[in-house]
Amino acid sequence: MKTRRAMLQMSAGLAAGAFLGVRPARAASDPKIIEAAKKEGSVSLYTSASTGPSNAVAEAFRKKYGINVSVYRAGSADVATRVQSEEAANRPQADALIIEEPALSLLAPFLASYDSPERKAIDAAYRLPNSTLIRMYMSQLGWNTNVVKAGATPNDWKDLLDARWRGRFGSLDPHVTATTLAWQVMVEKLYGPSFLPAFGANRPKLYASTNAMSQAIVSGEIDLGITNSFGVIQMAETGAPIAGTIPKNTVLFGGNIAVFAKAPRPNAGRLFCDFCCSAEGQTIINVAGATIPTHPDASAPKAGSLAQFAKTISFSQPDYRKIIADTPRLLAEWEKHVR
Amino acid sequence: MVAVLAVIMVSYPVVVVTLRAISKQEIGSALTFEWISALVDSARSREALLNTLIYTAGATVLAMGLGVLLAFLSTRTDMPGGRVIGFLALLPMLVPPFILVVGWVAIADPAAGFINIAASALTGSRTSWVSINTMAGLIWMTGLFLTPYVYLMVAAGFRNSDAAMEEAARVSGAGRLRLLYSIVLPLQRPALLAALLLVIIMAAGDFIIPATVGLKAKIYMLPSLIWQNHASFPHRPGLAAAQSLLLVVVGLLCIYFQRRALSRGGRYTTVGGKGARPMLFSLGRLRYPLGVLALLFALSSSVIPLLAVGCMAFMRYWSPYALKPENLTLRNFNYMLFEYPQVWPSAQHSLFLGIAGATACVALAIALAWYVIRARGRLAGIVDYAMVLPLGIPGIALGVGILSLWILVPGGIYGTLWILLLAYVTAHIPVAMQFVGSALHRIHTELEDASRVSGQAWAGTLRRIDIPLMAPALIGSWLLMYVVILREVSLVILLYNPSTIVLSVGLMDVWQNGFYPELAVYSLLLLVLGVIPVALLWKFARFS
Repeated sequence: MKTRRAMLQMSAGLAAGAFLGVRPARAASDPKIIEAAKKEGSVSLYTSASTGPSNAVAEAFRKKYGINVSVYRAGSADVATRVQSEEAANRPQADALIIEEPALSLLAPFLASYDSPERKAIDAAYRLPNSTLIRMYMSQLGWNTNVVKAGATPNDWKDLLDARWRGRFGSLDPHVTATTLAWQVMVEKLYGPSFLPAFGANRPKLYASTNAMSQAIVSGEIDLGITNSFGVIQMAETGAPIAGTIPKNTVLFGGNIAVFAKAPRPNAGRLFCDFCCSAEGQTIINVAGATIPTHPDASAPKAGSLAQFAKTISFSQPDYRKIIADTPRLLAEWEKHVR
Repeated sequence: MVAVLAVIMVSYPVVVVTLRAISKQEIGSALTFEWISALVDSARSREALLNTLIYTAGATVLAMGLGVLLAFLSTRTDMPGGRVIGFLALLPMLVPPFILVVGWVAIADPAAGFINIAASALTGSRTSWVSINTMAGLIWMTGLFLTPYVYLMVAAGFRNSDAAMEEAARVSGAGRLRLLYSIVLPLQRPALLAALLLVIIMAAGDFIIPATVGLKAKIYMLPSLIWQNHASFPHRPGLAAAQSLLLVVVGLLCIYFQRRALSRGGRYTTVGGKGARPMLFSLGRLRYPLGVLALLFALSSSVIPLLAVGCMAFMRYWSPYALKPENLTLRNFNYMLFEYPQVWPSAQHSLFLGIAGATACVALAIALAWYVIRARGRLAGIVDYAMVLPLGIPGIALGVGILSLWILVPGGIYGTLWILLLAYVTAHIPVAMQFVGSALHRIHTELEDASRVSGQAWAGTLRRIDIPLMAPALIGSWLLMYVVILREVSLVILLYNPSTIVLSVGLMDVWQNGFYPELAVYSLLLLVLGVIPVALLWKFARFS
């Protein structure tokens, strides 16, 4: 089993086209954009993806084009707040953005319409005029294999209501990780309004990020938790005692690439966007992040294939605009029953 | 001129935050009391206020008790190993708070802590003797975390105590306890009050421990709510500003009471013209037991969490059950030090900002303290009060205040290292002023009068009399500024950009990613950068 770092190194190798089975990127970017981007000399990337995949794709881009990428990485709420402040003051700093919903919808007014030539091969469902979905992952259950033995493992979200997990499981806090709101909407739809009070009564411990919770599962702080697919995959790669299952109904999350309308280095931003959309770029970011690519020629086998998952799993596709509008109610219910 | 600029520097963030708390949206929009009334109506805010008060009181009592006791034992008694214990007592200040958090979780988590694992092994079933996920656990961590600040502020005063007064009391028949309560401690009142003020405000404004273990334990406090309202959905900067104002009020009240207590000024001058080294209190039969207890405390406050984190750095993944040879690796060091792209740029920025920020803070504090205490300039009262304002504002709110102004200045310092330097100096000048001011208070004017009579101008007097006499406090102050700047997170999290990343922010990133072994390596690097100058200056201070 390869370690996470070995995978990162492999990702860097991909930049030189050294990865077996993946075709080198077709030179689909406009040569004029490449030329202008090199003159601009650098790209400023704001990203909410984890440090590993963000750094891997930035390093691969630098190796390919000789253009440095400065990475600002933070939670999606932090990134959104920062962009809004800079835009309000007319002091835009960033050229490109990698972010999840619902922050993407909040930042839509600041993004440029850009139909990257590299995204033609990507399914139209993953393309919006001003952003492209490049990585996907899903909400799932994860547990410590030293504590939760085979046969006693949970299979579904409602198993979290079992008294044997009382105070022994973790959840993300939607105040900090806004994607959790989508999970909250899904369980309300699946099990009705009685789920959240029962969930809260079983006393979950709250964590600020997926990886922090995966770490807590591995260290034995908690027996299990509501985590994300990449959290379990990456932690398991270190040899840690963690395993998980994807319940039959789950939420699909995604990271999107976009270019800012007022990017200080617009050509470099567009070239970076091209790279992230390409099979080469998507392979790198998804291998490093243990997520699923949207480009048909990209390959990140550790995370599995969406088509395979879709045979047994029903993915919830949240309406994030509705979630944003509904946030005060959802948080009030969370406050009442869980916190 | 310097005084006016300094007053502006520390005042505008307060004004900006206050305006934000009463503006419907951005500053300049319609005025409203919506956020203030939301603050009063919100059960969460009231609960957070109560928790913050309990947490602050508990951590303050613990830090003051331990800090004063350790400072006294190591500087004024014949306790063996005083210097070593003094250094160990300062260690938590050098340890990044994430190390303390992760270290104490490894030690005292109810399920995965070493103590409870041992308890479970002894009893044969899942047993939890201690839990860090409680208010007592939070107070314990924060109390230990703040103890060195008390130690640093009080130890210099104990060392410089006026031997003549103690001698007079002893000649008059005062016993050791009487001497302690009637002379030694009362003479340290400025330093004690300065330490008390600092610790109360640092505890009330601390956000790392509430936002990590506090969140997990569902114990909510004002700083973590302010942070959430700034950086989480829904974004409510108005409510965050109103919550910040609550902390400002706490800060200003503390300052008011401190000033009132200090208003009987001249009585605290303890470095008089006829200096002599104060005598050491004999501990008698308690000498060795107290030495062992102090050593145990010093070890448990920093060395034990550090050992726990040191273990993590060499492991493929972190779990207390996984401490086996087959899980050991050096890969985390290789990855973090040679492959992780943010490490070295952030180390360079942190070093520059730590050295430049600490030096600027101390230099400005000397100029301002002289202006307020000795020169008593026309603006002395205003400067005196203004210089404590940033103390009352949590780092993140101060960051918002600084950001809100500088982002609007075309071609200004936004997006450069200079805005971080400005933020550090603004945030930490009150602490530097506390150090320098209390040291200057202790120097009797008779020494300066003698210098003036001998023909020295004020600058010569400052250079030849005050600065040498204040050297321990100045060194202490510089060290404090340096290490605080190195690990400051909340202040700069909104101000840095990709080209100005600093170690502490990079550390937070790794912490959010949750890989404790990598976090451990990154933390150890920050620790090394903190320890080197402290060790050098400690050596210098010893010989000076």
